[in-house]
Amino acid sequence: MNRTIRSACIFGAICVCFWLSLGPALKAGDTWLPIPPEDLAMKDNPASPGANAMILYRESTVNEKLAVVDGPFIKEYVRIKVFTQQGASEGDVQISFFKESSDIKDIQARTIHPDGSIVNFDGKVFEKVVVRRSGLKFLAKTFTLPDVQPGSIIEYRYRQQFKPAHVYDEEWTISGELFTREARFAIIPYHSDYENLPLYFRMFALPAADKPELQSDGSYTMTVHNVPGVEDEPLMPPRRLLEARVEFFHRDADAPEAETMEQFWARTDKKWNGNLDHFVNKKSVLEREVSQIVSANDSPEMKLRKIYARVQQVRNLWVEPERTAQEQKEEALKKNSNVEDVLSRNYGTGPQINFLFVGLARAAGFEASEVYVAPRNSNFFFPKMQDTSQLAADIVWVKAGARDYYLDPAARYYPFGLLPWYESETKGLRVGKQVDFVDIPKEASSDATTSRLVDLTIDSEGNATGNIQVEFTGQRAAGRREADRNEDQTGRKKEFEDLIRGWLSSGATIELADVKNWDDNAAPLVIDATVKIPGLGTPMGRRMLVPATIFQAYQVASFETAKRSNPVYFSFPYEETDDVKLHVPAGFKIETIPASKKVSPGAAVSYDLSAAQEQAAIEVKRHLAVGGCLYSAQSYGAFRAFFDTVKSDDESQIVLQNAETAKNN
Amino acid sequence: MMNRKSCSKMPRLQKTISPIVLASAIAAIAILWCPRPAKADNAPDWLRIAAHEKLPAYQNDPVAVVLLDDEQVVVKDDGEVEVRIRRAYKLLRPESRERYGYASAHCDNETKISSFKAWTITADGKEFGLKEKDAGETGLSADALYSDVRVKYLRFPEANPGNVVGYEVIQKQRPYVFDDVWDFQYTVPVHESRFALQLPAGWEFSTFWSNHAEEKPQTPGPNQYMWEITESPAIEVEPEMPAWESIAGRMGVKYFPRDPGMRKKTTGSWKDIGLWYNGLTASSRTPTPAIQQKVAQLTAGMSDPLEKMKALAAFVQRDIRYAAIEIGIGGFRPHAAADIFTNAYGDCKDKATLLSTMLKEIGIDSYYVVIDTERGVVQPNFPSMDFNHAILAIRLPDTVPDAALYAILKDPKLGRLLFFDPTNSHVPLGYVPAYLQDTYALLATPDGGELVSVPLLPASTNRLIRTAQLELSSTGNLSGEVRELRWGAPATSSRDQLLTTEPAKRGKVFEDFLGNSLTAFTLMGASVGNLEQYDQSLTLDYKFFARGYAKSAGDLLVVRPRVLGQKGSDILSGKPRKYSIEFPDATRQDDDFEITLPAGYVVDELPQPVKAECPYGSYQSHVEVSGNTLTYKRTYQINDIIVPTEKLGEVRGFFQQIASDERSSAILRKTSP
Repeated sequence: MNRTIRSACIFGAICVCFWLSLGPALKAGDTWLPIPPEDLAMKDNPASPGANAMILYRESTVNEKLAVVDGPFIKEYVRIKVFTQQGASEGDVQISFFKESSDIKDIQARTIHPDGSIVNFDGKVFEKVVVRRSGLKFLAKTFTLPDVQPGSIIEYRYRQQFKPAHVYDEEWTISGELFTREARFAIIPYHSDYENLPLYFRMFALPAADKPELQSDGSYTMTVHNVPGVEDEPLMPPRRLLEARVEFFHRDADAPEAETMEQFWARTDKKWNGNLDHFVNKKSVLEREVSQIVSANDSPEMKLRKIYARVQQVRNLWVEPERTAQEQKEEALKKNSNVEDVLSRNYGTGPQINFLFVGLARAAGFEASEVYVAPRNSNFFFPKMQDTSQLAADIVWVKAGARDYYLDPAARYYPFGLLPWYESETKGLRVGKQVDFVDIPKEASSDATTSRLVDLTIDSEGNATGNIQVEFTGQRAAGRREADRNEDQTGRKKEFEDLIRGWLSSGATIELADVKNWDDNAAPLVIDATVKIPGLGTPMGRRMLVPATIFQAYQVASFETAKRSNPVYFSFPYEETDDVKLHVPAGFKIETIPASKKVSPGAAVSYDLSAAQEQAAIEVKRHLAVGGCLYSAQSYGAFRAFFDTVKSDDESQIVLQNAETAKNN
Repeated sequence: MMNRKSCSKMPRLQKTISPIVLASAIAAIAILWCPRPAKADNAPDWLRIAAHEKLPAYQNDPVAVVLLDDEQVVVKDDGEVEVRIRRAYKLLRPESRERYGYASAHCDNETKISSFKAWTITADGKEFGLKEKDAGETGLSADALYSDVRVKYLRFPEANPGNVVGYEVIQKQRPYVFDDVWDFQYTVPVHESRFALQLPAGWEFSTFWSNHAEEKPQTPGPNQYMWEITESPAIEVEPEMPAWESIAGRMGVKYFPRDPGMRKKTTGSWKDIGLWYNGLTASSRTPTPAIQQKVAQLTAGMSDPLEKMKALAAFVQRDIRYAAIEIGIGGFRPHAAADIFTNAYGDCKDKATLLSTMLKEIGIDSYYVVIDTERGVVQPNFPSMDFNHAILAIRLPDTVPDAALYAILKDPKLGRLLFFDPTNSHVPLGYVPAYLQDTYALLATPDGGELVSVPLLPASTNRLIRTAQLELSSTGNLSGEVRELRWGAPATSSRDQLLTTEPAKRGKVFEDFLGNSLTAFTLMGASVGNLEQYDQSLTLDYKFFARGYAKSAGDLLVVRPRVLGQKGSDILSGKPRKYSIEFPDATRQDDDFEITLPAGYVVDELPQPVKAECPYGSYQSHVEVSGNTLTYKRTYQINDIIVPTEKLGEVRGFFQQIASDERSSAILRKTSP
């Protein structure tokens, strides 16, 4: 289950919190930096032509030197060149901040025209309420620059002043939406003769040559050049993983200085293992419980399955809709301190449910522990970063005989043996007596299947009617059950009808007949429906043309464009299997059916299509498999070609001939 | 960009916040705030009574039912208005937790919330209450850079199916005009809706009804009036239907003070509303030397008034950036022309103001036209300020020819009025955006307001001519060049797509289009002509290669002559519709494709010509072969944009014929070697 492992620095009365605003700058009264004539005349970004705007220069300075007395502050200075009308929207500026901890001050801004003329911003800065609740105010300073036109340079600067007696974990966000030609960053750490609060940093997605340099005064600085913006593309890894950034942080109060990576994880492991051992330290309770779940004659795996089934009966508070304060008050749930509480109250958080499984498995004689993993829908795990927040999900490990099992019993809709996709093929830390980084195995494409069994009768006008049965297994079934867990029957009916309609050509009508095994996570999810497809066949004089497959290859939409910047990222391997029987209209005979096709350019993907004639019917079988998850941007072209072939072959035509005409031929 | 909600503040509670904005705010709260428990409170009797109402059986599994929608308006003699709204929902399906799981109330500089409470009564009779101190607040606006409108919201506890939720809000207002709108029909059924009006002695009122027969009020006391409507059916949203607000039942009410001095705050007729708006905006259109200098600069060397108009229109359209800052009456009143010009930004009414000011400098009069971007919301028998956009009506001098100016209204008094929307970035002078055509709008002149009809521009003004020279290989590959000539709406839609895409990524616009009709294609090149010359035809030239376009089947090669573009629609498939449909615009579009066939193949079968007609459009296509060239030609024309429900059958057949034609293929047969 997703979870957050807090990693913040706390000492004495100094509170450390996270800071969400984009913000940064120069002190009011500072002169603006000179603008080279070539920047005024610039028509496009020479390093990356065809942009709406680019950041010419950015300067961000964090100063915590006098944090205790005056409060830390961040000064930000941004200079943007506008190339198009669309880019003029950069003139609308919004700076977010928490009123409780900071304020935005000394905002200055101006617009410079290509001829060098300057229009200073002297308008009103509005303070907009983003959210206010119970004394907490998340606000935004909003202003718009005057007379911004294509060709203009806009620049603004401000200071975000924080309250005294606080230091913050800071982040330099290097890459954003726009291309950055040059950016300079600096951080002046807090210093006190009485307390030592060293500052550390970790870097993400930065070129090796770029890193913060420690200066003689204790500050860090970094200058970067020509940083491209991060593009949004279909099937890309989580955006956060592609954004270049530097995170500055302070260690926990109990953390030793100059801790190595090994020491950091050993300390973390010890702490987390202690938490686990403490929570499951109810041996007699667990043994009594396990004795009611398993029998001595059960095989090891059967025992684990029974324990898994028992633990999944525990109500998982983390998958329920967010509850209001009054709902929480009304229910008055008590905080669980150990597995006995979880068992007796029959509720728990995701980690508590997994802890319970570990405890029961141990009580049943298995070696078991908790594994903290990076959920790869948002994060990857890089141990050298010494960042526990990357391990934001937890699963369990059990050893039965020679076999290692990785399970997530807290994942309510996932049967034994199946992890949520974002917890598979990732890395993590298995807690125990020593640090143990583990690779969670990848899943096979057969662990996420969609099978479609169709029986259609085509009439002489080309309209098709019949039945469709869809069977989802593995990730496909669990994902649907999880996504629609809060839907009622009406909602699910609409979801499934829309899903099937989306696979078919436009104009198809679907009537859901049955949904089987909705509540049985271990069984395939099966949907039965009737279907009408107007104009599936196209009458052509004495012939009728019918597409070999009735389903649209939706994947091709992700590969339409020839250019690609980011890696290709499938969430999980999967397979599609279709078996479509088409009964030809009375009076028609089958003239030709498509030749068999098989495409398998590598291990990553494969496709085959075959058609066979059975008296007055044609049976078309199709199989598509995607075998992996993450591929380089260079492989995009190969995927594009593959899915183009798939779609093209899917559109192969069956030719029917009017039997009367055929007789005369 | 044009912004729908830029001009009007929505005085009605249910329109004050977009669900998306509120959802965002609530999501932000979830991140930022750990709620503290509020003290429970007993539900009021009105909610308990509503919760026990016996409801009829509703069709189509509605998400929720409005048990009670009760608005009470108390007008004081000094013009202050107190509005008390009580609303109760019975939640029926899980989806209701998202859609009706919170109560919201707006406030701004003229509207204060004096009380805001909410309750839940669960199916087993438990009661929970929330007070204003439990409320969150957001000032986020989907439309404006800054607005003084803020929304407070309370999230109902136990907002689950089977439970009843309700809230009461009391607002004190100092309205700019004395009118109100009572909405009593929504997208879920309404069991009971009530509107009560209490006026000071000597005040009068009038009502206007839309989509419902007039109801006479009850009079529970002196100067007290109450209307009540029960069991209003849900409006079930269908694709391409008119805006549901234009179909929903509602009543407008205007009240008239006893004091003649205050009467100016009542806009009883369209004329009154126009007078009020004209007065409100009178001081905004004052030129400054800088504006005069700019006008002189833009029109220097021009003698033709039309050329001057075009130059000024283009300036405001392109060089004045859209940015809405709305504070207080600023929701209605534009900023001063001087400020708009200096800042070079403004919202729709600001842009209209500056253009009007500049036109005046060349001796051309123009008038504000307030309008709604949702066709049908403004209705002739329903005079109100319920608009969300402002454009201009330019009075054409007699010397200006109008052959190429289409958005013209011939007004008996003012002569030829040319509608123009300076907010829309890409619609040139002479046209008006498609979503503003064939709709009512209020023309505000010094003599008062006049409800006018913005014309529907004919199909001949919205053209797309697509020609292609293509070559088919014996392996089924298709390659060649396409040229598109676009003007009117098809040009605007392409410009919208291209100009809002970064120049480096514009190839994707072509790829997306090709991807709708082709598979396994490669865009070999593309260029755009007259992209930023909005008054000229837009040209798109592109080349592509499509591997395996024609499918081989034995010794046959199956090729679809309709290579690109789709005119067919499936909006009429599926279950019968209840409401009419709206096409985006009247248009004529022609395709003329020539495909050179591969050697070694002869045509075995060709699609039959198609000729389809309905009262709203026509379609013709035919395929012929001459030598080794297959030619596909078709013409698609839509003449009228609103198809009433009773005519849907005819239109369904029309589109089915088009869809069938678009799927049809020619069959080539391999000749003997």
